[in-house]
Amino acid sequence: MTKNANSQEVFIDSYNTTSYLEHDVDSDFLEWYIVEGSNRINELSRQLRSFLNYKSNITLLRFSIFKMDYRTLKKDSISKRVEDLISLFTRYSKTLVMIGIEYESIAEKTRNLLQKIKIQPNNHEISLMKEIKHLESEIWKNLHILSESELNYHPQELHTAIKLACILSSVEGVFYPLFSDFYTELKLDYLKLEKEITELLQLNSTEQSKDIEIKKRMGILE
Amino acid sequence: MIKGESQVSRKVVKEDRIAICPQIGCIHLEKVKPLKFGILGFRKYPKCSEHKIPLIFVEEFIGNLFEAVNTCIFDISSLSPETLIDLIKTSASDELIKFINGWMYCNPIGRGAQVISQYVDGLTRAYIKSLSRKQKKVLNNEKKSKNQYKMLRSGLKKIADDYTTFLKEFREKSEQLYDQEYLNPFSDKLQIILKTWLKKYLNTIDPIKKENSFEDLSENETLSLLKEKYDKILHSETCVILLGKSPTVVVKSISAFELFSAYHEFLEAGLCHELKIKDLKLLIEESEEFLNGNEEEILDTQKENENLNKSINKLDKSKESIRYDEKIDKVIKADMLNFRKKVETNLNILSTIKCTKEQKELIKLESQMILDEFFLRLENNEIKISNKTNPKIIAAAIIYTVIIANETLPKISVPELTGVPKYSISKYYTKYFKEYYTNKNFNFPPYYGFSRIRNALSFYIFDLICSRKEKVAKIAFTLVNDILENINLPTQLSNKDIDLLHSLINNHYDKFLKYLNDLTEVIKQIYGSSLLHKKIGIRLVVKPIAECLYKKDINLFQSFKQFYYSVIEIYDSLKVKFPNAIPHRSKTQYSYNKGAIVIGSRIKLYIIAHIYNGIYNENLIKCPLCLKEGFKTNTDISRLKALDFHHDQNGKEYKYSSSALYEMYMKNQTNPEFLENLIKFMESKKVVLVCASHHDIISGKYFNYFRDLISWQGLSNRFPQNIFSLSPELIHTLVKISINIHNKTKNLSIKQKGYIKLSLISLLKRRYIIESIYGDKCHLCGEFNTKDHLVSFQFNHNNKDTKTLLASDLFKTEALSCSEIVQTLDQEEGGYICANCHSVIDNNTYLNSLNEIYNDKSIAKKALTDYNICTRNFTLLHNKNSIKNPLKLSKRLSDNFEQFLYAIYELSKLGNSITNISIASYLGLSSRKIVSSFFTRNDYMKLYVKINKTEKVYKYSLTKKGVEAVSLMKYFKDYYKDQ
Repeated sequence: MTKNANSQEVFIDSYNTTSYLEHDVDSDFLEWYIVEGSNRINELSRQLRSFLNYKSNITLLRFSIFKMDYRTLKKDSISKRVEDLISLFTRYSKTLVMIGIEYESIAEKTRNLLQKIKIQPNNHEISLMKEIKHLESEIWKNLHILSESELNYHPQELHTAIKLACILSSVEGVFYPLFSDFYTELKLDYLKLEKEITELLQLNSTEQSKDIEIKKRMGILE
Repeated sequence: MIKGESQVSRKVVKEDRIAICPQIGCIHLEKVKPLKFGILGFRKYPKCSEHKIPLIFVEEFIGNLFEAVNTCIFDISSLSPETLIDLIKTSASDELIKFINGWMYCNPIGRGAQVISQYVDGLTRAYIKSLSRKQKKVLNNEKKSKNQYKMLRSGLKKIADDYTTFLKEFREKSEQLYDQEYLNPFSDKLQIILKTWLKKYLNTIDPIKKENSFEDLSENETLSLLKEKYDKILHSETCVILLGKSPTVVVKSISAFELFSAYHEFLEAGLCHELKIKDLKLLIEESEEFLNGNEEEILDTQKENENLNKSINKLDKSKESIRYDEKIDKVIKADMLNFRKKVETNLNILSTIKCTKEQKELIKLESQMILDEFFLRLENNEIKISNKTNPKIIAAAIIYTVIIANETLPKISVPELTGVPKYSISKYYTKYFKEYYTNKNFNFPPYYGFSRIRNALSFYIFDLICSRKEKVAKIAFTLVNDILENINLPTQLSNKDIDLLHSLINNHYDKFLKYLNDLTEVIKQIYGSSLLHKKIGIRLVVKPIAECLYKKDINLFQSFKQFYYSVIEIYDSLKVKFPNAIPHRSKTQYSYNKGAIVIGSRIKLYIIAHIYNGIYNENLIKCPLCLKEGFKTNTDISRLKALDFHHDQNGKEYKYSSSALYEMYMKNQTNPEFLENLIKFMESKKVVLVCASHHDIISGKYFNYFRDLISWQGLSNRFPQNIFSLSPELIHTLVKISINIHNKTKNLSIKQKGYIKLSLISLLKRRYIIESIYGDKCHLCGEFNTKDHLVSFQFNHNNKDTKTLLASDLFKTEALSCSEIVQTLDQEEGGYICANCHSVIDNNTYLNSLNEIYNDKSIAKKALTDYNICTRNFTLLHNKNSIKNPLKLSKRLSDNFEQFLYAIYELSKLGNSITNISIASYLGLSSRKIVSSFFTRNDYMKLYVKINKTEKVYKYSLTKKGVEAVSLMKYFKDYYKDQ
């Protein structure tokens, strides 16, 4: 890899694009491990854990959703964390837009961009890509923490978290091609969860939206 | 569980690897180094120091672990326990398929999938931690050979692959076992069944847990018992999730390590079998067959056997007793035998009962036993029968006794079955069998005439609640004490009644206490709701009270229908006893419209009278703003419908119209604090009373900003006194200038400004139309005018059936001119009046309810008179030829109109001749042709600018109108600059 400038040097050290783009799996794996294998293997087990946590939350939600009116729940630390998460994601998506990546083809465009950076390193794009990776790890960190909470009492927040996990797991596979299989499976799992919770919320909102205005009033009168 | 090939051999290890004790849960983990001296090496096969078993490599161990997890989650034992299925079959068969589906959906999580991740997470961390600093350094150095630590790296790759496979299999296998479409929440009934089952099932786990006699069993038997225990724990966990609660059983009773380790052993011992789709299909097919009626004979055999044994024992005892007795008189014995035969014949009716074969056998057996006992006691002279005793009633009473004394038997209506009246059966049961066979399903009220005692107890409770002598929660206990000591009881209770209450306390203390607590809650609710309805002054409807209580599980041990009737009886008895405290009862609810008008209006009256400590009551309930303006018609209480509550922007989501108040009442009619809470809340939102017209004016934001422009007031005499005498271009320009300069609107977006301009122009159109047809005041009350109160004018459709549009919609576009709007409105059969008069004239239902709304009949009469006057004087809007279009632009107006007029005005001050060149230069235009073409294209400019053409040079000067227009523009610019 050519090292054109200092900033690029830093980027290349931390984000070894060579390993992302090669396709010989066995040698790739070794290459990958040299850089950040130990961290990534931890991340995989953490991903597995978070996914199963979210799955449990949805299972619980399905059988308890009609017992409570979640609209009346007060804002708590969970809602606050989700708000933080959304603001991080907003930053993340703005940065993506700055590089010319759109929502619809986020994985494909990111892959192309990584290839482009490898061939024609560009200071601006490299620093943006670093920012994206940083934001992404921050979002995952928050998603992992959030998965440990009782999200079944916060269906809207659970929905948001799963949606974000779904988007990010499709991008993770691009950054770490050696784990693309793992992230493909993870994405499929999250997609399934997202579909499930969307249906659950629709079902619940149909029940509750009929007298939401009255409930608002009743919230303070009862 | 250690596989031969996976044992760690230092002989074959070529480089450092990480190995772990295969005992799941054991934390022994070590780095295995290659042997330096070949065959002479020590510890050829490293073992766990604690478990003394050879270590295996972590990556292989992970594979084993996932195998154990899959075994646990997808074992055939994950199917719902048969006892639960049978229970649902007999008690909630219609939800059986839904239940099986839900069970399979919850299974993976219920069987501990979630906790495996915690273990895996810990394991990988441990793996990484075990790397030495040197290893990490070497691994992080790109220059070193890629083949270094190859084993270590490929180990990690294996772990990653195992994760991927687990995720995939977990999803695919889970999906096969349930149908997403049928995942619906369970009914309350099924939830109760699950709760009851779970409670009993959890009790069956403990004995196994405490079992210490494993020593006597073979290894496989021990494992089978252990598996049974684990399966029970996991079943309980799944059931807990189905009840919508967080799983706790596994977490508390059993660790993930223990669970998966155990399942791996079960698998090795051949105790586990993977759940196949066909197993599930079989279960569903069986269930469907049952639902189709092909499997009527399924019964809880365990319980059934217990009952059968119990019955057989009792029968044996009876037979022994019979053999023992030898003193029966032969004649009497012959009569007895005859009577017995008749009873037995009547017992044959059992064959027609609709229940399972086993249940029929059980009933038959128990009936025979009771019959034997009955005749034994008869022969012993313990009981007596007369010649008139009907054998059929005795038979019915025996069947009744069998059914009520056995919890497992279905509820069968014996009166329907035998044709014997219920009271006769109850009477015989009480007389002959109750002492020996108590009613297992004993419910209150204990007998038909208990309502009299209940009503007497209600008086006692009502007294305590009213006098607040006792806390509500303690009333039931106080009453029980008073009954036991026979003090303070209502006089309506006879000694016999008190004896009955004593027996209820002695025999059924818990149920009786619950009954009294329920009764106290019913009376507390009646008392609270009565207070509320007395305040509003309306009749009370009992049904919502009963519904509200029933939802809280307060039911007096009755079905809802019975409970509802009981509440009515209690209410009526209290009304008779305490006529002043309890309002009249209404049998039916008002229709929504009627309720919104009568109840909503009465609540409104109450709020007006009490809010801010009755401040509005002091002014005889009048709109303070009308009062300030000296209005008379519009300040009268008879115009209650026109009185509104105004609140600032913060409280806009809450409305206090009559219908909104009625909706609140409907939700809170059982809440005695409803009115006080509502008033407090309204006070906190600083709600004030105003009439509908003034409410419209307060809310008309843009009208208030630009009121002087719209109403054309306060201008000096040098300006025209009628805005409509100006050209449309100038009016539009003045509106635009005002919006652009006003502090509140100048910084808004172009789109928002456009919307405001449209609003102001539409107000001007409305003003022009009203003034042209009706003059400048509301033609009904004569109090609200088009200058100060323009926004309060509304279009009233005289006939709602012919209404085809909303008049306001016609103003939402600049395209329609005033004459076109009038033409359209003419066909709508209506006219413009102020909002207050509109509220009077608008609603017939309101008119018909006046006597129910006002306690003071003279006000009701006044409201009626007001209505009659308004309807009589109401004038329809008619199209007039005189209607012009003072706001219709001949063509799209650009900013140039204002700029060119200003330019000529300013240039004329300098005294030079004003030409195309000087205007272009003043305005910074690139070409003088722009100036000339503007004047050529816009004819309306001729009114304001005079053009002289001399020697091919155009010279411009302002006309008198032009000077006036510039002055007006300057005037409004200055006027709104500081607003």
